Amino acid sequence: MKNAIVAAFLFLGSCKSTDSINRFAGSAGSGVIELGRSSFGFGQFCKLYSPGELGLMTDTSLYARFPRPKVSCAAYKTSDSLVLIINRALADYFSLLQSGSDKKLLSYNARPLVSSLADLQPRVLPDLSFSEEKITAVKGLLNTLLNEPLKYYRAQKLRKIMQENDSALSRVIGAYVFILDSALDGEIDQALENYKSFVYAPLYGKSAGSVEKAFVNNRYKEFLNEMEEERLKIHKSVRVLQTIGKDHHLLASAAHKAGFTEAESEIALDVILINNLIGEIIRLTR
Amino acid sequence: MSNILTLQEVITVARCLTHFQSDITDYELNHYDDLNNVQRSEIERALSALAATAGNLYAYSVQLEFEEVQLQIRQMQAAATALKKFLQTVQKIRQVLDAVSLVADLADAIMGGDVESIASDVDNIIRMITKD
Repeated sequence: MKNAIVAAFLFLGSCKSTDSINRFAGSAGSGVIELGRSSFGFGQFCKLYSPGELGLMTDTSLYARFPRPKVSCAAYKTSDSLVLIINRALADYFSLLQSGSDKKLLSYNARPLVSSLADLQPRVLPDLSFSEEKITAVKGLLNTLLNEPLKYYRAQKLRKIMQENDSALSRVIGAYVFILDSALDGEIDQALENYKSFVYAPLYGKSAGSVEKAFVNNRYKEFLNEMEEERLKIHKSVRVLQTIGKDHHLLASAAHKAGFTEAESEIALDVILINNLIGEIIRLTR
Repeated sequence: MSNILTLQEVITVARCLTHFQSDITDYELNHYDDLNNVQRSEIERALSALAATAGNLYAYSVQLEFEEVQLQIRQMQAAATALKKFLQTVQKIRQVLDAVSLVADLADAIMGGDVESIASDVDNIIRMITKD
């Protein structure tokens, strides 16, 4: 009896933690996919904000055309490919973690089996009289025997995979954060300077009247706003990644902590936070 | 002293070049009327070189970081493969449980002599076996 109670708690705990893994993996997976979709890539910076491309914006009948060197986009394209590899590695991991922890995966219903066995019993063993109450009890017991060990095995297996890969995931997320926060953010600064050097300065210098200068200033402000939105998107993306990294660590190590409930409630709040951030990133992208 | 730049140093150099470009552009804007066409062209050439170098350095830093983290990326990909295999195993266990139910149904139908149910249960079992 005592063993049965312990096993019941163990099984109950395993289901609960699998639910947390599922919720976390779901929002982490969609978060990573959205980051891949909404990121302003390196190639776009090279294509749109190279000195040569921006110089073409001043190539009007009013302003003389200066020959400008074309920037090779090879390094930018390589960077985009590498970011894509990182993004896919994370997205695949979370997608499979979500599928593996899906409640429906183990929603085996033992009732048809028990009913068939109950129907067979009067014919095969007529002396063994089964009351309705006994049949219901057997149904519950059989359901537990078939489903719960599988759920427990799954929870243990998922947690083991998460524990083994926790530090690797943290490092990969760290690299992704660096790419967004340092390299891509730097490209935004560079794009701002390029616009100022190759569009704003030549146009502003040659704009004689105050109306023309006001027009050039307005265009410059619009460009600044556009880049600020990109920067905001990057900051939100970094926050998503940092939250994912923290929650993965919580889930990987929570099994050994007494305060699993605390970890779970933190993850529940973070899932809401990640989903809200994704919503904000989508709004900014549109 | 090592002559290989670290990742942070690459970013710092790139940021310095960006700031340098900014300072030169500010100078150009403040002294636009004092500069002749040759001087403006020279400035523009210098700005182009600075811009191209800084932009490439930011992009290049990604390659450096990727090289550093390659091992962990491979580990994540291996973890995804392990999860996929685990998922297939669980699905197979589930199929076995479903098969047990179907066999019990069939036994029930045979005992009851219900020919229609026997045929239907056999169909279900064949469908399950040939599903993969």
